[in-house]
Amino acid sequence: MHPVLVEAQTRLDVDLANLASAAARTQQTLADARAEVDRYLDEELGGFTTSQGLDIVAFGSMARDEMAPGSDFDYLVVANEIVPNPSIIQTFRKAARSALNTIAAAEPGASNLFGVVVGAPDMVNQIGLDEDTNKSLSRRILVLQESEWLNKHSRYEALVSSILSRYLYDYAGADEPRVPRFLFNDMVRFWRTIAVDYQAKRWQEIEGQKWGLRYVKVRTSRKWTFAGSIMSLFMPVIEQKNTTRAYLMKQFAMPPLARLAQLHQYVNPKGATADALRDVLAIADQFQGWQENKAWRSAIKGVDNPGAADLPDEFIAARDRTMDLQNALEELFMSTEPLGPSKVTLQALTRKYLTF
Amino acid sequence: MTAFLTEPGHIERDLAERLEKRAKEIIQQRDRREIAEKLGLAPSGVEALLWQDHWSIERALRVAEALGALHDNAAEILTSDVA
Repeated sequence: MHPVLVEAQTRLDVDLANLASAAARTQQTLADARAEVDRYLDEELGGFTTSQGLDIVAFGSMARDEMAPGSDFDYLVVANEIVPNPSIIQTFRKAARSALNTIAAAEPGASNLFGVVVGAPDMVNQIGLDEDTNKSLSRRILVLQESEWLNKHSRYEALVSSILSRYLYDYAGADEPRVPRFLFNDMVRFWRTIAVDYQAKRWQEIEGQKWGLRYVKVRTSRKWTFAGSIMSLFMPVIEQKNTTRAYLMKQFAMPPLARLAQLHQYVNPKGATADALRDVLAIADQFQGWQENKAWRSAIKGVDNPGAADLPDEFIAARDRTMDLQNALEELFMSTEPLGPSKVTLQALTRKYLTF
Repeated sequence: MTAFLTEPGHIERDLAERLEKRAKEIIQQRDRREIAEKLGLAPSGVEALLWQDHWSIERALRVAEALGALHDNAAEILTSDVA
């Protein structure tokens, strides 16, 4: 488990055993996937000794440290430069598929959001306006929020660095502790897009299936991933540290729950802010435990309409806990406890940046 | 064994379930690293396989064959086109 979560577990006196177990599973699976990607590329390329201008980037629970047994991962092949021999593109795609096979996971869905090749310059250059589609927005923000590299000789860090530099471009030469508005607004835009698209997909699929699972996901892991990202963007002000590319790279290198949990070091462990943070982490741990329970997953998967009258007990209990999570996040982000050297409050930051 | 008529899809499902059950029994009894090698999976892949239910018929046949629960090439013969 990420050291920040280990510290938070002790300082807040909260049991995160399920998250610890998920993190251990994730690290093992990530190592297995990386080993298979390298083996495949080494074999197919007759030795994989230098960058080929392509990288495989994995997304989802693997990058959040929240894998349950049988979890898969989504991936993109990111092109960093012109690839002289296009067949290498297919080799990289097949390497990702081979990694999925080796962990006995399914391939990405048919939406083409993942499983395809994208150009790194577009991810950096195309922020906002018409050509920044749902897909390009999602891919770019997910690179920051929840992604991991899979192949050696990867230029993944350069990609993250370049995206962050683009968001910070207007602040060049004027470093100070600030909430970076451009990036912040794009994070909020992505979260609102997820919420709106959830409704749009429900509308399009007249008799959709598995909505129970989607409902729980959007109200839990998607929500705390957003909350963790917002916390990362509030942290420079709380810590009074300059909002530099290097600072944000460290922030987004942490899994989402660790980004949220890092606040523990600035709160009174007996106070209301700590209570709210403790609740968020305890609920996340409970959901991780549920994810690993076959009967629970089966019951939630069986729910086609979250608004139906006859819902299984598992779903009702899960829905109640998503409401507890909402309340805990509201308490946390409306906290009036002075934080860090600046003595700023989360309520002040929330009012200033999350309302207008 | 009692033979009975049923829908083709049901026969396939029934076969897949039996093979999945048998394969999981074998996996549980043996060393995981040996199993991973036989199946061409990573250790985490073996754990994932055990956790997943309702295997496809193709997966059930291939895993059962690799574990020696079926004759060699049975999976390929059964999944190839009859024509």
